[in-house]
Amino acid sequence: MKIPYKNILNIKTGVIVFVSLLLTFSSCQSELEDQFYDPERQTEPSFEMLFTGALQPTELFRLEYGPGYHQARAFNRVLGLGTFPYAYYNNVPDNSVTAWTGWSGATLRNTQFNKTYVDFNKNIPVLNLMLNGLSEEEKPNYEIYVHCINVVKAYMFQRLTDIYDDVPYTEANGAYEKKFWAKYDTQESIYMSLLDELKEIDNALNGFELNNSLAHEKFRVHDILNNGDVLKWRKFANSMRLRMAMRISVVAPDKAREVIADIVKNNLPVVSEADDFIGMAEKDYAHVMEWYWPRAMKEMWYNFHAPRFMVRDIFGYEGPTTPEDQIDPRLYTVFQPNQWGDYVGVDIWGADQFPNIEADMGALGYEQDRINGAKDWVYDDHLEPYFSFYNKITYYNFDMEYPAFTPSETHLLLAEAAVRFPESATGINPVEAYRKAIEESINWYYQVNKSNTFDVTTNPAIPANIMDGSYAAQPVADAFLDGKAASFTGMSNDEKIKEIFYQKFAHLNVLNYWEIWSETRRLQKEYGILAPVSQKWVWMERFYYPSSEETTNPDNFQEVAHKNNHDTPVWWTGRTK
Amino acid sequence: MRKIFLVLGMCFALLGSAIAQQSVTGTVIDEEGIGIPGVSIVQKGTNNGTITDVDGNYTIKVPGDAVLVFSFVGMKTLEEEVNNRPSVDITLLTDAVGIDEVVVTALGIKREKKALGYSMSSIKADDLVKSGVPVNPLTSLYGKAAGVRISSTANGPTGGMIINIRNSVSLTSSSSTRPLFVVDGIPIFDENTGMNRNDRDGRDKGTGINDINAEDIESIEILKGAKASVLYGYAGANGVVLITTKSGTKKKGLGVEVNSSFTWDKVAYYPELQDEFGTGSSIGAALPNAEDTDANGFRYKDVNGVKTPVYYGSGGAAGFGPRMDGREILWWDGQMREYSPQEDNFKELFQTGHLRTNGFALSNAGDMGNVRFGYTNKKFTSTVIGADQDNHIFSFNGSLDISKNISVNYISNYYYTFNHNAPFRMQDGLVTYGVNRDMKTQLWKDNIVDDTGVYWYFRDKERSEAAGSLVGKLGSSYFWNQTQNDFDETRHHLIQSVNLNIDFTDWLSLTLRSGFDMTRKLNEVKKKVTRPLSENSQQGYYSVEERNIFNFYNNAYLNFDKKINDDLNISGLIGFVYEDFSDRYVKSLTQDFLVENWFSLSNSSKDVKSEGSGSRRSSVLYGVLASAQLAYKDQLFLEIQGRNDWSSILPPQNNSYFYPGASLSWIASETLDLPEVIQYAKARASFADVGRPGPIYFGNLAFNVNSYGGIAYATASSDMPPADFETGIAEGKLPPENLKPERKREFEFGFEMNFFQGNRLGVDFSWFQANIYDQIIALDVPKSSGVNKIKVNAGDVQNSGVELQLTGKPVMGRNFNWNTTLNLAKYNTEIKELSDGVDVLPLWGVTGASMEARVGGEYGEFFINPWKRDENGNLVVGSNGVYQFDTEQQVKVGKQIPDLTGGLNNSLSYKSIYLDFDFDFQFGGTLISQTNMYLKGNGTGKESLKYRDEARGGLPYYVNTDNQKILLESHSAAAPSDSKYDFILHDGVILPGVKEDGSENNTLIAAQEYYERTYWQGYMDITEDAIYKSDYVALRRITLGYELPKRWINNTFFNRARISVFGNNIAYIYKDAPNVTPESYAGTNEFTEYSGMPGVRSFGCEIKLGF
Repeated sequence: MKIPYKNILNIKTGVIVFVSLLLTFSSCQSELEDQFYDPERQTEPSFEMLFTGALQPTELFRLEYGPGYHQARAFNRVLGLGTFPYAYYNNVPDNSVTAWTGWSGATLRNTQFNKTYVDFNKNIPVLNLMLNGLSEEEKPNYEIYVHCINVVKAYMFQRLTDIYDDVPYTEANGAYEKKFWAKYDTQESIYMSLLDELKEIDNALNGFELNNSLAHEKFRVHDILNNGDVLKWRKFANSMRLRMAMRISVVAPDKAREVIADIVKNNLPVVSEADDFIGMAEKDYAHVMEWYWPRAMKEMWYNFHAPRFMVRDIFGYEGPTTPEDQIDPRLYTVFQPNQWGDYVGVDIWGADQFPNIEADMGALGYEQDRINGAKDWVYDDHLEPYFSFYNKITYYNFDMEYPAFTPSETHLLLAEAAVRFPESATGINPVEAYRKAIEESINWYYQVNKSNTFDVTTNPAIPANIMDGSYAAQPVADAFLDGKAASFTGMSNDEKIKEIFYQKFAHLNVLNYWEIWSETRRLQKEYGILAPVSQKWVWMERFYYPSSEETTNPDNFQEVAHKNNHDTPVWWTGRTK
Repeated sequence: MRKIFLVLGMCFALLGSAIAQQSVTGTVIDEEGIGIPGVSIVQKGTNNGTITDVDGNYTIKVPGDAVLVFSFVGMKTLEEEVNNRPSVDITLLTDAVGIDEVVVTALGIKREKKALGYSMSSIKADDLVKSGVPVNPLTSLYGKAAGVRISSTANGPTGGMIINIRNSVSLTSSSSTRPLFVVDGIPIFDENTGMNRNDRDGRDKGTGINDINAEDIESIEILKGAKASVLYGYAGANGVVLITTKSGTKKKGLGVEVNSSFTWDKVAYYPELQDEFGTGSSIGAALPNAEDTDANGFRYKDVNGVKTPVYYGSGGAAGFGPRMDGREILWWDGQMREYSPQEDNFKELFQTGHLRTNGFALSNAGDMGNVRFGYTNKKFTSTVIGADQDNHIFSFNGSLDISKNISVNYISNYYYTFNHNAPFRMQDGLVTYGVNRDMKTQLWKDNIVDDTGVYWYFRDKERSEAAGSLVGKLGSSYFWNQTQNDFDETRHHLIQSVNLNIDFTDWLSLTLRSGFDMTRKLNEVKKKVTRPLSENSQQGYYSVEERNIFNFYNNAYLNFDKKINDDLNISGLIGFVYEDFSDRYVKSLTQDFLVENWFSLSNSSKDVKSEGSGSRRSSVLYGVLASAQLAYKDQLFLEIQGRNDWSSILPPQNNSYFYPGASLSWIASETLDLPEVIQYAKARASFADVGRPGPIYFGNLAFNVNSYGGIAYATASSDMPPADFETGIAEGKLPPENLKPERKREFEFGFEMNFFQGNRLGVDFSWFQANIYDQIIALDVPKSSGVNKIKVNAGDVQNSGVELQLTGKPVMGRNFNWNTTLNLAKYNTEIKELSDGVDVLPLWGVTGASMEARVGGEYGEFFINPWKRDENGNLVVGSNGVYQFDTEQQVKVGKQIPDLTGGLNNSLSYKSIYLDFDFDFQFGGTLISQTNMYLKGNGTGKESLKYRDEARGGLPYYVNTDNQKILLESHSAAAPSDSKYDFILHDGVILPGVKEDGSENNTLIAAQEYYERTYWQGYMDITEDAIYKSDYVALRRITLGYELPKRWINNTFFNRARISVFGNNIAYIYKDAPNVTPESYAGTNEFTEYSGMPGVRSFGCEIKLGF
């Protein structure tokens, strides 16, 4: 069929229109490329920003609401750090309550494992790849970042293996190299590796000084943990070595001795003075009661009653008549009084809880109605409490640096080292170390308590739904400390080691469950469970691995599946199931 | 001379011809009496012909004995002898057989249905609004089309509705499986919605499709398969719902339609609750002091020296308290009041909702074009107190024939929605802890605010302790929140479309379409203080947020339709598409009010008065497409289509991808001499392989930036995008991104047949098999790799199924007719492959249950931890006296997607009366019902009565002074001397099974302990008996209508009048899960039931007038 010529003109018109439309769609490739990337995210971050990113994850140094909520709920009860009067749990059979199931179970089981590998660690492979891309001239200036990040890595993996025993370490974090299925390393090998690595870092940083390079200038700013203080990083590394050495003191005393001797005899820098304190404060004031640990304490307030064990047995407070120099001054900063101005702790769940309430309150002269009221505990008594709480003036000091490593812990470690391995910890006087540890702890708690500038009207505000906390005047603690030192001197070695544990328990309390739990398990072989745990709870030797390990890493998981329970002790306990 | 004869001869010939012919005029109308424009009128056996004008009028010159052939697509062709008549008026009848039915296909192209080589469903205007104008137009689609699964949610009609076509599945939870909605050629914004526990932003206010007004819809076409939607590219991979709104083309002169309907909504399908035991805890569970209770379990207190039974309040459960025996107790508001069952108190938490719809439409048509304007107002009040919605809908559709060859059409739809206090997930108050069986609903209603009229009633400590947390929870989350606070969304939704059509020749034309969908959501939340700021300074909340979603859509098509010879016709198009999508969101909020209940962004005691956040995402897409259809003798149709897209969602090196499609349709009844019983037979086959690029920014390897105390930091992503690891490893750098489009390849075969005179039986059958491969999925990898997930192009999910539609006319009479349609769809999915080293992909999970894709299994299989059993199969009872979860085992308990879905629609008419009733059903899916667990765990459900007394199997026991439970021989035994109480108890339970050590279980617990420990252990992990089938058969709709006879309204200015009464969600003829409906999901992308929101049944009436 022929097409009339007039139509051809129209066809031409159509084609012209169509082609002109086509032209309007040209040069679209650059628009496609521009829109590929998320404008809210950065495609090429700086090395320093990634370094800071690796220091700041919540639950690494600063603490978060969600995990904090569940840790408080579980560990305060399991370890005897905080509980409440409750007839129901006093009556359940012994060994019938478990922390790894229920409302908090999955969070406890998963959080540290998942956060360590992903949240804490995810920047580190990127930093390494970026380091590869640097010129040979630039690289030396970035070594300081690598050393510091490796100290942090040791910190996180020590905690991780303490919780789970064998975990992926040597093959971990290989995603950028397409290595997704990492094998599990034994706790023993991880400990040995970490100790060696920390030693190497200490050697490398010995004498290291920052120069005027841009990399070092930025390091001073971006080191949010130690403010660019290289010596402090060495102290952190060596104190970590000390902690780990004592952790293996039961199972590998020779290695422990070697590390202690290296630190003590070579007089290596450790976190020993108040200025050495290593910790990180929450800076996000706007969300401090939303996303971070203070909210956990606010919502879990009823698990923050003062434990009777700490009030009476560690802090020595029997009642108003107890001589002042026999009361640990920390009583007044760690805890706040009840509504009648007394310090009354709550015992752990069990047959003794109510009788002890009767006895303690009876001794204070409380009438039976009041005692019954205390036992008939209801959720709403936090504004007019019958018992003491953790002191909200101390714990709601939003400028408080959450402790990562404190001088007190170092001195307690040294004290135990000197008791256990005097030949290695030469020159360390355990009594002096013990005294110094308590003194530093008292000073720190008073400093935190006194420096609190917040109240219910400030921003952020201290929660109003708990009875007001209390400020405490800085005590003259010498008499108390002398008494403690004298008492310590008179103890047997076993009693000293137990006493050192109790001091760790009091000093770290709700701010570091992990160390308290680990130390309890370490000393269990020699002394049984020293923490005031409730018999209602089933004791945990470890955490179950996250259930996702079984499905996502099945072949490697098989190697540790036989230990995936709550009652197989980890390697450094020196115990078996 | 020869020339003169020639001229004369021609003149005579013309004259003779003129004398032999006559002019015939007439009007062609349809059954409704409306003139049909464009009807072809041909003198039979000649090429002499014409077409009707816009009013259906025509004029033609033919011999007096000519036969005229009137034909129009979708209408029965009619032959009429002229018989020397000067005027011949014709009524054309709709072709009920449908073989010449014209349907709208992809890109709005109209095609004869018989030419389609694939399955599609078409739903006409009348079917959509027979039961009134629904709040959500999807409501009208229940059971209407085979393979289209519709399900409401617990969010009510203003919230989202689930729609799933052909079992569309995705291995990425962030990928939607919802179809593309296209309104008048413009793809509209649509997304999953749902509710959560956050009252501020956990409310489901619906999405784009909610706005579309069913009254304005002319037709809905559902493109199910890949071939049907291939021209839509990636967006059509889950199917396409094409919505065409009404225009004014049908009638010349002013036409007016008015409709008004009113619907009453009543809650229905609420749980069966026990009415024997009220608030509190049983003696055996709480072990109160002997002096504080009695044998009936009441709690006593000293009130003014009198030992008085008091409301249980703090520490009590909703349904484990003392038996409600009608005695007077001291209520939490300080009044003595009867303690008696409140059988209807759950129902009384809700109100009668209603929907009032009023609308009108004006239309006109003339020589230059046509126009329609419509307005509808809907006022909806929910059954949930405090929740309502107001809609104003304006629609305009105008066409203008600028010249003979150029026409322009402009469509504008504006939807205004004001949503107030849509329900959020009030699970704690309504379900988890239960509605106290003794609670007088009016007491809650009367005590929302305290004496000041400003603050919350339960702010008073004494009151809240007396009432207990359960009463306060419902008082706070429901009554206070829904009546005192404002959670508003104002939604402006604008859909614009301009279409320009230029006919260059009779076979070549150009279509240009430009339009956009703009959705603007303005949210405002005002939360009052519940107590004076002086008591608590951290109160008050005010936020404003704004989200703008803009989809700019342009296309241009060069269309051709050329008859090659008498047997062969080719038609098709080539075209371009350009899409520009953006979604921007900003929010500003103020907390910690400085001044009570002043809702301003500056009202904060914080240094920084308000806090802002926001997000933005955008994408562009270019596409080139071509389609060609070859028709042979109007009985064999071959269609070949292809499209290439360039998408910004993909990395630049991978952002171009091509996908083809082909289909074949054969009208066998035109080719073969079939038995007379077969009126029509068609076979069809199609193939397509479409691609889609995945969610925006899914392929980015990028870093988040934040600040710690003013120091900038960056964090790597927790998920690894698809990346070229080999290059990264070789070069020692970050691996480059290499996301590719995922693909869906689908084959489809089918046939359509009509049988018997009058097509009394019709069959439409489809079989298809689709493989979604190279899926863009985020796979869980061990966390020790350093990332949570790796995003990859991997996997192959096969989805196959059959769809059957049977249409029947059991009765065809002069006055009485019965039409019925049965839709059935049966599907099967199989996970063929995931990724190297990955055999299991978790898709979703709640405590104790997960939905997974496992290689070799079906999509969406549910797994739970079973009860622990020993090697002999005995249930293991823990030291707490109840069965324990076997946390190291997972068992498959079902799957999310049903095997069989369908609907049965019936339409009966007697003269002008019609009765429609529709059923829909599904079988083979699984419903995890947490509500059923909670009803047992909190003691309010009827199923929690077992063991609660002697008659119900409870064991006799006493509690000794050490609070131990000691089993007794007999319910009539006296209390032993060491009994704590001077009575014995009758609600003991010793579960059959063995203890951990293998010995027979002998642990005695109280009934309350059994329920609470069983159903609330592990924070309410899903138990074996919480698994039900999602099977149901629903009587979805009944409509009884009456079309007033024309003769009644002949003398009025009306030309049409209809009244109807109707009901929706009438009844579940069958359902497996008790206490809840299978449509109780709290969102469109949820897989477990936990909302506690009861289903709603509605009744209404409507008047529709035309004049």
